Amino acid sequence: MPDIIVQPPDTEDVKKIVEIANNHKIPVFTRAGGTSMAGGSVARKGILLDTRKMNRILEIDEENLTVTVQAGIPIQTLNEALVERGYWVPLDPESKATTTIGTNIALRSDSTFGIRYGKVEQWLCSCEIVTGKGDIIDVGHNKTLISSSGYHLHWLIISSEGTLGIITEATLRIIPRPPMRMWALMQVPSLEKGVQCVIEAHRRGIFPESVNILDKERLINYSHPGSTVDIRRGHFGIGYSFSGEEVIVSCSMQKMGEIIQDRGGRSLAEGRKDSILASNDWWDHKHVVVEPPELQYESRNGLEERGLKEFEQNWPILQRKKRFGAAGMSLPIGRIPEAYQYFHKTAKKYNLEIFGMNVYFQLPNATHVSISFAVKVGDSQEEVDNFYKYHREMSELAVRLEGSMSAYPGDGEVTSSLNKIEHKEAREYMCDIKRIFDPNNILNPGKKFGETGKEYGLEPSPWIPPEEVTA
Amino acid sequence: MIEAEAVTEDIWAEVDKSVESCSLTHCGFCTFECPMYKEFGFESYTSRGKKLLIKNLRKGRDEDILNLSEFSPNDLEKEFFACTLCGYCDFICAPSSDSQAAVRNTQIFEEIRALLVENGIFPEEDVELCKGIKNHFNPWKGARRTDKKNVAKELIGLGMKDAEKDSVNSILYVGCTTASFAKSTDFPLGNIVKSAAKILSSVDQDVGVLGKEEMCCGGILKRTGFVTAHNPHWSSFEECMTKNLDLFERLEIQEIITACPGCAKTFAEDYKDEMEDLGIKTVHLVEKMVELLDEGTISLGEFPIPMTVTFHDPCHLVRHLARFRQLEGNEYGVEKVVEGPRKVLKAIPNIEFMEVPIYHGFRSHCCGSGAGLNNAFHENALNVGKRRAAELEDCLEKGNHEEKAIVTACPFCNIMLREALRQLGSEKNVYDIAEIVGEALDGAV
Repeated sequence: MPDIIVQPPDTEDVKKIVEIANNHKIPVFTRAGGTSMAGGSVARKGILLDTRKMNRILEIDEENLTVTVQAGIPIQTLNEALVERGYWVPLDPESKATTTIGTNIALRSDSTFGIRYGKVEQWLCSCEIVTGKGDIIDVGHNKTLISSSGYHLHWLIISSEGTLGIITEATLRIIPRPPMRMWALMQVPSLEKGVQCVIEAHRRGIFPESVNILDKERLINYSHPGSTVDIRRGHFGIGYSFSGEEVIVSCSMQKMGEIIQDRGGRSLAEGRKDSILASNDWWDHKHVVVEPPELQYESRNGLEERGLKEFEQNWPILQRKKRFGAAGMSLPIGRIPEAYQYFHKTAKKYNLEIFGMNVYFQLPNATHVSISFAVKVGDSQEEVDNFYKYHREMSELAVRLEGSMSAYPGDGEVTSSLNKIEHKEAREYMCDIKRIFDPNNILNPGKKFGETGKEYGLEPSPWIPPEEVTA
Repeated sequence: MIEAEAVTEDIWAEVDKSVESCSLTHCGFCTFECPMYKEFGFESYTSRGKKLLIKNLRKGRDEDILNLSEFSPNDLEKEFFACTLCGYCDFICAPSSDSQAAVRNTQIFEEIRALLVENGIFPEEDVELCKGIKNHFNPWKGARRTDKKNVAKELIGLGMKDAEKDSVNSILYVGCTTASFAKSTDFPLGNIVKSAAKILSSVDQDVGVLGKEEMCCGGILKRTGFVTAHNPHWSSFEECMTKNLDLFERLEIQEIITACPGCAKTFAEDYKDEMEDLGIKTVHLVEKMVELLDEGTISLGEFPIPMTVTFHDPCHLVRHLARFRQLEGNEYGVEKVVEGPRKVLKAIPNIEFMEVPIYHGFRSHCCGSGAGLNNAFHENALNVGKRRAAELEDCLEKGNHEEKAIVTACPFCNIMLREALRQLGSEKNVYDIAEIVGEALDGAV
C-alpha cells in the first residue's frame, strides 16, 4: 500500500511533488487507469501519483493536425472530443476507455489498428515530463515528428514506464476519421498461411487497417455465450478490417478474401449467415463494446434475433473463476509457429489451462507483431507460482527466438528481473540513462530494473523466482 | 435469456461472483465517467473500487455478514452512501456482463447499504427521510400530509377521478417530490401532474388519484438501505411496500401511472413479485404518452413559442427502468423510454431538439440527486448537477431559437437541474416532458 496518494492537476504540482520526494528520497509510483498487466501501476509504499486529474485537452490545432493534452486523459475521452470535428487519434488498445495517453506513451501499448497506424511513436510529436530531479523538460519536436536534431528523447520516454520521468503533457498527431469501415473474420489452415496472406496483401498494394490471427481457444473469448465458433481443426482465425472510401474498402475486402481463399482459407461457416455474425462478435468485443455510438461505424446487428445482449460477452464471463495471464511478447514472424507449439507444451508442463493465442500486427504496412500467449490462472499459490514459471520460460523463449519478451505490458515487475537476458550489457547503459534522469531512483523503483528498488526496502515481487533475486 | 428473478435466490453468491469477476477482469471502464469519481477523485467511490472493498468486507464471510472490524465506519459511510446509484457502472460494466442480469452493481451497493444500516453505519441525515415518511408519508423536509390531498383536489378539478370514491382501474401516483413542491415557485413541480392530468383526461380513460392516502413508494428507503424497520419512529421500505400494496389491493387497482421515475422503478422492479401477484402494471408517464401517440389517441400540435430543447435522461428511467424492461424481454419498453421522449419532442412543430453529444440515453450523466446523495451530501450532489447542467447548456447553445430549455421526465432531476442552472447564473428553464406535451395538445387540430 502507498503511504500517500496525490492527484496533481497540472505539471507545476507534479514538479513540486517530485521535488519534495527527491529531497526526502521517497519513491513515487505513477498510476493512471490501473489497467497494467505487469504490475507497473502497483505502489507498495511511498507516494502514489494519480495522473487522472490531469485530464484536460489543452489545444486542438486543426490547421496543423495536432492535439495537445494533459497526460491523464483517457484515449476514448480524447476521441469523443475529436469526433465532433471529424478527427481521431487511432490508438486503440482494448482498454481505451480507461487507459490514458500518458500510459500509452509510458507502456507503448498495443493498438488493434497497428498495421495501418502503428503504435504511439507514430503519433507522439513531443511531450512534457517531470524528471526525477523535479525538472520540467520538453522532449521531442514541438508539433512535428520529423527531425534529425538532437537526440529524440521522446522516443526514450516511450515505454520508459515512468522510470525516467512523469509524463504530464503530450502533443500528438490527429487525422480525419475514415468515412466507413468493413471487417471480416475468416479461417486459414495454418499460422504460416495467415502470415503469408498479409505479406501477399502488401505486395499487391492492399493495406489493411487491422489484422489479427488467433487460435480457436482465443476466438471463443470474442463471442457470446451460446454462439458457436466454427473453426476447423488445426485452423486459425484471421480477422481484418479496412476503412476509407466505400469503393476502396469494398475492393480491398474482396481482394483480401481472395488472397485468403487462394491460401486454403475459407469463411468461418462456409458463407452461412453465422460467418458474418461471428465476424461481428469478434469485432464488437475488440473494438466497439465500450464505445458510444458516435465512435462506431455500424450498429451491431444480429444480437437481438439470436436472443443475445451486447454486453453478454464470453470475454469477462470466461474470467469468472480464473484470470487471464499472458506472456505478451514479440517475435519475428517466421518464429511464430515454433513458439505456438512451445506455448502448448509449456502450459501443459505447468498444468495451466490454455486461454489462447492472439497475434496483433502492430507496425504500419509491415509484419511486425505483438503476440499474447495466454493461460488461465487461478488464485491458488501453486497455480500462481506455476504461472510465473510459465511466464519465465516463455520470456526466455522470446529472446531465444530472436524476439523481445515484452511487446506491450512493459517490464513492470514481471519481467523486470528477467530482461537482462534480453538486453545483456545494454542494460548497464540503460541504468546509466536512468541515473541521469532520476539520480536518486525515486521514480518507479523496482519496476523495469527489478532489484534497483531494493535499497528502498521494497519487497521483491512475489513472482520473481528466488534464484533470480539472489543473483 | 437470464431471468431477472434469479436475483433474490441467492444474492450473496451472485454478489461474490460479480465482485470476483470485477477483480479478475479489472477493466476500470466504470471509473472515469462515474459522477462520484469526478467529485471525489478516488477510485474507492467508483464501482471497481467499491467492489474491491466489498471483496475485503466479505472476506471469509459466507452469508450476509460483513467483516467490518478493519474499516473505519466514517470511510464506509462516505464510500457507500456518497453514490447516486445512477447505474452508469451497470451500463458500462463488461465484467458483470452476464451477472448484469443476475445482480447489477447498483443492486449490490443497495444490499451493502442495507447491511451497513443494520450495523448502524449510515449518514445521520438519512434518519430524517425515515421519520418524514413515518410521520407524513413524505421524506421531504417541510412536507405535510395535506400536500397530496391538495394536489389531488386540484387534479380532480381537472377531470381526474377520486380513487377512494370512484371505482377506477388506473391511478396517477403523484409521488412525494411532486407533492412537496406542487406550490413552490422556485420548483413548480405541480405543473407536471397538472399536465399529466390534462393528457390523461383528454383520452377516454378513467384515471384516479389517491389523495392523502397516497403513501411514499419507499424507493428512497430502499436506495439508502432502510429496508427493514430498525426503529419504531422510522419508516422502512418494507413498511411502505406493505401499506402501498394494501391500498392498491383494497382499491382493486390494475395500472399505476406515475411521472416520477423513482416511483416507477420502485413499483416495477422492487415490488415486482407482489405487483405481479396483484396483477398490477406500472408505467411511467413517458411510456404512457408514447403509447397514446403511437396509437393515435392523442395528437400533438404546434408549441406556442419556438424553443430549442435538449432532453436529460433520468437515471431511474433509462438505466434502471429501461434496463429492467430489457431484462424482462420487453424491448418495446426500451424503445419507449429511451427513444420515446426524443420521438415526442422531435414531433412537435416549433420545438427544435438538440442531443447532448455522447452522453445521452443509456450513457447520460446523472443529475446528482439520486439515492440519497442530495439529502446527505448536498454539496457534492449539487456539483454533479452543475456538471450535468453545464453539459446540457453547452448543447443548447448550438440551437437556433432564442428560447432554450432543458426537458426531463423526473421531478428529482427537475429540481436539481433548476438549482444547478441558478448556481451557474443561467436563466434557462427546466420543463418536464409532460408539460411540453400538455402545451402541444392545445395546438393540435
